Amino acid sequence: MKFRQKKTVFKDDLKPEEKFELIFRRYFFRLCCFANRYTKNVEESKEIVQDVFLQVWNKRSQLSFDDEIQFYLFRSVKNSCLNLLEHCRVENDYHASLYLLYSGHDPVGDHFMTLELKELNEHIEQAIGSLPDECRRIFLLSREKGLKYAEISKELNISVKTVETQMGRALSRLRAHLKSYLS
Amino acid sequence: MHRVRVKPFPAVLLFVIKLEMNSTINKEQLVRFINRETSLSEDHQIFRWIAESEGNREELRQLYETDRLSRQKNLSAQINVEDSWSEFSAKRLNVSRKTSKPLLNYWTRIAASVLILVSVSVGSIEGYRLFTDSNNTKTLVQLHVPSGEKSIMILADGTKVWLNSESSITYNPLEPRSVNLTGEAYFEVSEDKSHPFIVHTELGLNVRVLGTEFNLRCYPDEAIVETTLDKGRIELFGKNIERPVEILPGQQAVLSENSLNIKNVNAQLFSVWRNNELKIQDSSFGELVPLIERWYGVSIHLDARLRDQGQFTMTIKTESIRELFMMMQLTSNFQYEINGSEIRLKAK
Repeated sequence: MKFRQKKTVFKDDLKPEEKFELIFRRYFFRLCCFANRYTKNVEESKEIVQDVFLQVWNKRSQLSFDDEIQFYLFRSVKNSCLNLLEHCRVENDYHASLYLLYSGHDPVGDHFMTLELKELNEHIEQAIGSLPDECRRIFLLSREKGLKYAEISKELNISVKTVETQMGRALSRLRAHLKSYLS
Repeated sequence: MHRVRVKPFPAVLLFVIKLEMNSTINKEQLVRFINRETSLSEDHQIFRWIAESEGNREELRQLYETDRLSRQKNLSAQINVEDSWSEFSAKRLNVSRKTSKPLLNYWTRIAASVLILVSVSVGSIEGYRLFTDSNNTKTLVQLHVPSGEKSIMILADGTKVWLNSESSITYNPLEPRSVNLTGEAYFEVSEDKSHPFIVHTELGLNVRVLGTEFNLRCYPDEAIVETTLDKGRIELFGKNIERPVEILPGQQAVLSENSLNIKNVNAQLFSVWRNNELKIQDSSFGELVPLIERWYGVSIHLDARLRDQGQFTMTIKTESIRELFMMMQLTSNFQYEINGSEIRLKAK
């Protein structure tokens, strides 16, 4: 796995608006992927990232638009996500758990900052591809069709217990494969 | 030998003890939790489990993040940077670059030279604030009308704006023909063919005007933008509209959930709120209800039996809706029930 730190060289004559646009285009997708770690869905992630960029734009006199800004962006996105989780945690134990996971010690998720996302996606694909056949079939039904355990069991005519076992196995194996992205 | 019989613990108690002493959670259960397949009580159990130790949290975190990574592929299909950028640009235009500190030294100059406020009997403007953006090149004026009041103002170019309650309008006094609106307003735009007048809304629908009268309603909590044209010509454009759409007098365009519907309406009905008084002549319940709905900003459920009844003639000025119903009850037999902004009228 290669971590690549992209250096950005802005031409001096770029106007702040132009620099801002470059930064937006460069980081928007990454930040959404990063936000997606904490949120319920992509729309929520996009909204959070949009709002963070709006804050950055409003504070542009105090910020310099260079490489350093990515730390600010990632930190702000994380804070917004945590705020959201904190807000939701009163409603259910699921969000409460996530809040507990991330509000304390938390690895930054550096790979979202530095890694080529294409590489990351290839690794994920490889990892999924290496699952045993039945395990993969079940896992993909959950991922691609968004089926619940009971629906998968019906579709494949197997017990819910089997689905549960295989889903557990799939995620454990993927975790082993993707270990280096989880630190 | 005498044996002492030991009474066993009741089963329930044993179960509780087991849970507390050994709260192991297996991997399948964690994965079910991540996939939202657990029951409420299991969720609770897991919550306690992760609160127990850093190790438990790390275990769940890694599985959870693995799960998120495995869904990563779909993201590229759902996120389009180009679209996001145009969405952002529209938002940036819309949100005034406000800093919370009003700059009072600008106040007099701008108030005197650019803005004339006309207070009318219906109400007043709560206050207008001036904002400057960070590099001090632009000062924005924001006018806000509080709940239950209405107001009217005249912009520097002569355009008249009626603002309904809980609405605000924000603009740069140097560009008075480009304003942002939240809430509801009626515009009587003074004609200037070379400088189109543009109203921006937060839902990404904008109105371009040459010289005209129209009503625009875009309260944030309604999630729709409703544009009703009285006179003239306007064009709607924005990120949620494929290509600019022109609407004609007497037409109303409603943008909701990204679809734009245009229909013919009685346009005057939609701007009735801006008048100082509401005149009702020889009207039945059926004719009266839509007017009252707009006047008071409520929604009324009318008993079908009442629809053709009544023959009301009255003028409403500052009466509350209760006063109005009480007045109507003097000549007509009905009951009313007020529940927030929902009202039911029933035949007795």
